[in-house]
Amino acid sequence: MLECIYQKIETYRDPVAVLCAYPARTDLCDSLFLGLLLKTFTRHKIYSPNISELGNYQNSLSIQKVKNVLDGLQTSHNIILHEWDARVCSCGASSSWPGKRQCGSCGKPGANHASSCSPILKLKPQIEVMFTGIQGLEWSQFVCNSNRGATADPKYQNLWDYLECN
Amino acid sequence: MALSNSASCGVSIVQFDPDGDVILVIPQKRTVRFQVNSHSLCLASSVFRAMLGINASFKEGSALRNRNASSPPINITLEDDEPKALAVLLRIVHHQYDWIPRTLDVSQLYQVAIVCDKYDMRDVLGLWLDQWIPLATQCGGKIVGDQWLYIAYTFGREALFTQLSRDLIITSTVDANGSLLTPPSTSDPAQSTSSFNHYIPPSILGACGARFGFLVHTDRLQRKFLYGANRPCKACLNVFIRKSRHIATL
Repeated sequence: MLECIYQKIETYRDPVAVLCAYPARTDLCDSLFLGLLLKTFTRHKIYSPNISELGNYQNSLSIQKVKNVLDGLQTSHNIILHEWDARVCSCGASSSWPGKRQCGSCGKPGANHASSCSPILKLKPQIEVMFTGIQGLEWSQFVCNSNRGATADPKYQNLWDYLECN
Repeated sequence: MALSNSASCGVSIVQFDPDGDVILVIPQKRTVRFQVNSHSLCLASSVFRAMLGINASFKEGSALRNRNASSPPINITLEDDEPKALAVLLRIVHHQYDWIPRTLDVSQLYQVAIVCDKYDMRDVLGLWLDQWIPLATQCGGKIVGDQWLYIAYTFGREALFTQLSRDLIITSTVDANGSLLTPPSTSDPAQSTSSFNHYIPPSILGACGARFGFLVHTDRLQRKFLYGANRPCKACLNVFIRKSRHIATL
């Protein structure tokens, strides 16, 4: 689970990787989401750039806590990066025009990176799948059979007709 | 029979069998004595059978075999047992069903589970367990999760055991040695975590810890961070080549 998160950070830290879905503003988009991942997970002591601290962090983490942090992680619905300037549009959700590739407020061409590039979009379902896949222990693996002399488990017998006990 | 005089009334001896050949002595502030039938104990418990049975090599077994009809009952001291919980089990063993509580709260269940586990008497409880822990039991109350886990383990409540062990896996933390720690108390988050209930078999905690470790284990990635940072991976190289080609076409 943590590995999944660290892997995502590592992917974004990679200086040559291009993760943005749009060609025009790849560095800005990737840096934005790298910053989000680093700040959020460092703040919640799930991740640290300092390797020696990671071990200590892991000792204080529960799976539930990691899940809660991820559940609470949100980005803006609109991260519109215009193609020719570095302005990040902070329009409200209502001005987002899905598929139009332009800002709903100023009309400049730009893609909404929140809905296509955000690592949170993939990370949350990945963690959710892991979380729901966690299974408890099977009681039968740990039970000590008491030596009561029975040759068969009475649960599976027709006990009315069953006269043997040993 | 002195059943009306229970241990809680301060009476020092409770006769589950007035002709009983054994007196179980439980040292407390006021010592409690239970006069019981050794044959009933041996039928109900493999531990008592090992101690008192016909082939028992323990001194208690020898003393019982050397005893004649006029001899007084032999005393067996049981350290650290909760007398009220043991009394419930002894009532079942001695067929005194009218004296068995119809309901038990979780702390009482926990005490019964400890005694039951110690003397391997789970099978004796039979239908009483269905009465005390209905299959749809929801966990809660005053005792903490790992005690519930112990109850579910001891009484063979398989679904409850699976559910509780999962809860522990996802809410526990580990200490510096990698040992699983109980989750912080929800009622008092400032309360520090502690080790698990010592009655829970280490194999269960080990299995919970292993699953916890599997989910949070990051050694492989740490190694990559430490030693592989300057070594481009194949995917990175592919991106680099693609970018280079893209730049070349401009």
